[in-house]
Order: sequence, then C-alpha cells, then structure tokens
Amino acid sequence: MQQIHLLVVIYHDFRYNKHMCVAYPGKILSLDGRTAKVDFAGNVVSVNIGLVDTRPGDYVLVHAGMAIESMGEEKARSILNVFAEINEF
Amino acid sequence: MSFEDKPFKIMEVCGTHTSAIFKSGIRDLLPENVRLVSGPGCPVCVTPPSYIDRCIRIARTPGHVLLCFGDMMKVPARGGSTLSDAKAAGRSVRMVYAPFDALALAAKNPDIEYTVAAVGFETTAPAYALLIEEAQARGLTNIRLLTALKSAVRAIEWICETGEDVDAFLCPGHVSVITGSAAYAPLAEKYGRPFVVAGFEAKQLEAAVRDCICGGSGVRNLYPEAVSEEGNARAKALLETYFDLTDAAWRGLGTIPRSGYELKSKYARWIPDQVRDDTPDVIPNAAAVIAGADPQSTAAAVSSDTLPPGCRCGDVILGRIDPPDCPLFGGSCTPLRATGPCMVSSEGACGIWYRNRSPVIAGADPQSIVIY
Repeated sequence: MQQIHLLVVIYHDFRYNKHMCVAYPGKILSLDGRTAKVDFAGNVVSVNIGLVDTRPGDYVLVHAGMAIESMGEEKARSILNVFAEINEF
Repeated sequence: MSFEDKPFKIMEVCGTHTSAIFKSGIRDLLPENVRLVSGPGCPVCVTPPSYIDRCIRIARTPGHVLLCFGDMMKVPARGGSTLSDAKAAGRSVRMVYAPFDALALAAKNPDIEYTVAAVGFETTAPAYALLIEEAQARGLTNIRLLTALKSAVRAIEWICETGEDVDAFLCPGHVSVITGSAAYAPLAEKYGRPFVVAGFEAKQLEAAVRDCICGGSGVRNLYPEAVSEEGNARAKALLETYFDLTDAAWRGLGTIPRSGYELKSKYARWIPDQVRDDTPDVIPNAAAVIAGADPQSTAAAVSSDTLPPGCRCGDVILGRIDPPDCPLFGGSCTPLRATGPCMVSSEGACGIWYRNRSPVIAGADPQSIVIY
C-alpha cells in the first residue's frame, strides 16, 4: 500500500511538478545521447543527463527533468527510504 | 543536548525542509527557546509580481505559448490575476514537468514561439543552460527563456549581511548538490554561524537541528549521499558560461545585489522580445469576478511590485514571524485563492503551515480547513 502511495506521489510530482526543488533518485534503463530513460518506481521518464557521467544500471538524482547527481544503488536506496518514511506521516 | 537557555533561531532555507520538518514532528520536540523559521527557499514565492505580468503578456501574444511549472499557475500578478486565470481566459499557458518538454513542442510546432518561465535557484538554473545547448544542437529557434533565476546561497549571505537575528542555517539540500558544501565556507568564516547541509529524512533533519544547536560555527555536510564538498562541476561551469550574476528583485525582500542569474548578452536571442514592456495586463481574476468587482480597479489597487496590502510574506521568509501571525493567514489567504506567494507554492512556508497546522493551535475557523 505504502509503495503504491509513494508511486502515486512520485507520479503526481513528476506529472505536475508540484515540488519544484525536490529531487528523486531513479534507475537508468537506457541512454540515447544526452537523454536517458529513468525508472522511478515503475514510472519511466526521459531525463537529461548532461550534468553527470552515468550508464544503465546507475541511479541518478533527478530535478526538473535533469540528473543533478549520479550515485550507486546503496545511496539511492537510502534516499528512497526517506521518501517512503515521509509518506508514512 | 547542551545549550544555553537563550532564544536560538534556526532558519530552514529550503521549503522542502520546512515540509519534512513539519511531517516528522521535530517542531514539537524542540525546547521552547529553539525556533525553526522558514527562509527565502522557495523560488516561486520570491518571484516578483511584475514577472507574472510579463508571463501573462507573452501568453496573450498571438503565436506564443508560455510554458511553466505547476507551482507558478496560482501566483498572483500585480493585478491579482494568475496564470491560471489567464489560461481560463483563453491565453496560451501550458504546464510542463521539465524545461526540456519545450524541445519536443518546439520541434512539432515550428511556427509557435515557446517561452519557458525560467524560475529556480542554483539547482534548476543549469537545466535552462542545458535546454539552450540542446535547442542549439537540434537547430530549434522558437524557444525563449523568461528568466527569474536566483541564487539561494547569495540570499543566505544577504540575510547574514543585513544582520537578521538568525543563529544557524539549515542549508538547502539540492541547491548544495550543485554548489557543493564548500559554498558556505566563506559565510561560516565571516559570520561565525553554523551552516548545516541537511537531507530530508526525519533522522537526518533531527541530527542537523541538533548540530545547528550544539555544533558551533562552521560548515557540516549531513547529506553526503547527494552533496559533495565541491558540488557538480559541470553545472557550475554551465552557470558561468551562460549567466551573469545581476541584481535581482525578490518578492517581499526587495533587490538583493548580485543574486540573480541573467542570460549573458551573447545569448540575448533566447530572451523574449516582450521583456521590456512593463505595463500590467488586466485579466479578470476569478475571485474578483465572483465578488462582482471591477477588474480594472483591482489592477490599479496593486500596481507596484510590492506585496498586496496586509500580506506579510516578506516577514515570513525572513523568519521574523510565523505564518499564522499574518492577519490574512487562513482568512482571505488560503491555498485555493492565495493573496501572498508563500501560500501558493507547495514549498511556500504559509502553504505548508496551512496544510500541517492544528486548527486549535492556529485559532482558525475549522470550516476554513481544506483537506487535500
């Protein structure tokens, strides 16, 4: 249930950009030049990766359609857990 | 926890922190002498009303479409009308998730000029530089940027310079991803206060608040998962390449020297032609129409680039008062029809307080509470 809620929140935030300065981590699925397909809890979004060096399988912190930091799975998981925790409240 | 029993004010600069702090319940755990106040960390809230006027003017120009983030839609312009009103009145306003959405639109409709309402801090500004690069690479000439980009770090510095009694700063997490924690080092040295970069988890925030109180002056990075000392070098290089730091108007605060990112003159062709025209556009705002008011008169009443009468957003984002202390809070100013910008955005302090407050504490009419 909580995962569904998180997904809805993430989808809503990406669809409507409700939180301007929030950045979420997502997993890179594929690259196409300076654009990547990034998976956010099942919601796949095109992201500009001009600011980071990254490859499929990496996680990136995404803000306003742009990856601002590249990170390993462990770090990304710790941030994702945070959002899950925030949603508990 | 050891600290002296004197008032201690911590400014959480980032709106997302304000929200996370509320939801985590940290506010209720703090001793009475420690106050958490919101800072100017919401780009939408500090965007001046004249900027919204310019957005509306572009949206009404034939052959032009204005692209903006969702948060911008409800921010009142000088006449009290919003981009949402403009859209309802048939103007070309379109909400986008990311600035890069302009690329596909511009490629699909080469006869239409797409102007992106470019607001944001250091975190978002590089996206607009990347947008220009990408548009150039794809040979697109029908994209423009109406910039109101600002430096959050510079705003923190300005608050220190003006001598506001803030004892410690919770530095914005995602601005720091770009700037790096080292950006606060000169401030810590000059003003001798704690600058703590915080994540968004309850435990991280609790640790950061504790560090603000007990850690003494200096820069500490408690969000190492995402923030490095030097920041994102490519993003910083893009900012230097494309933007000049200029004096910028902050709604509620006035002009802060060298706090705005403006496109360099060699990129002038990306700036929309309508920028110079500065007369307010009059679009009947929904509330005024319902109340039977003459839209012309509401426009005249708020003609300057200041806050609407009675609105205390300026004091809120300087941490001088808490949002419920504003006489308009919860009365004429609610998230559904905001008077001041801090009520509009999901990251604005007033909106966050409104959504998270206890009606008993805030002394408000429970009927006025809107459940989202």
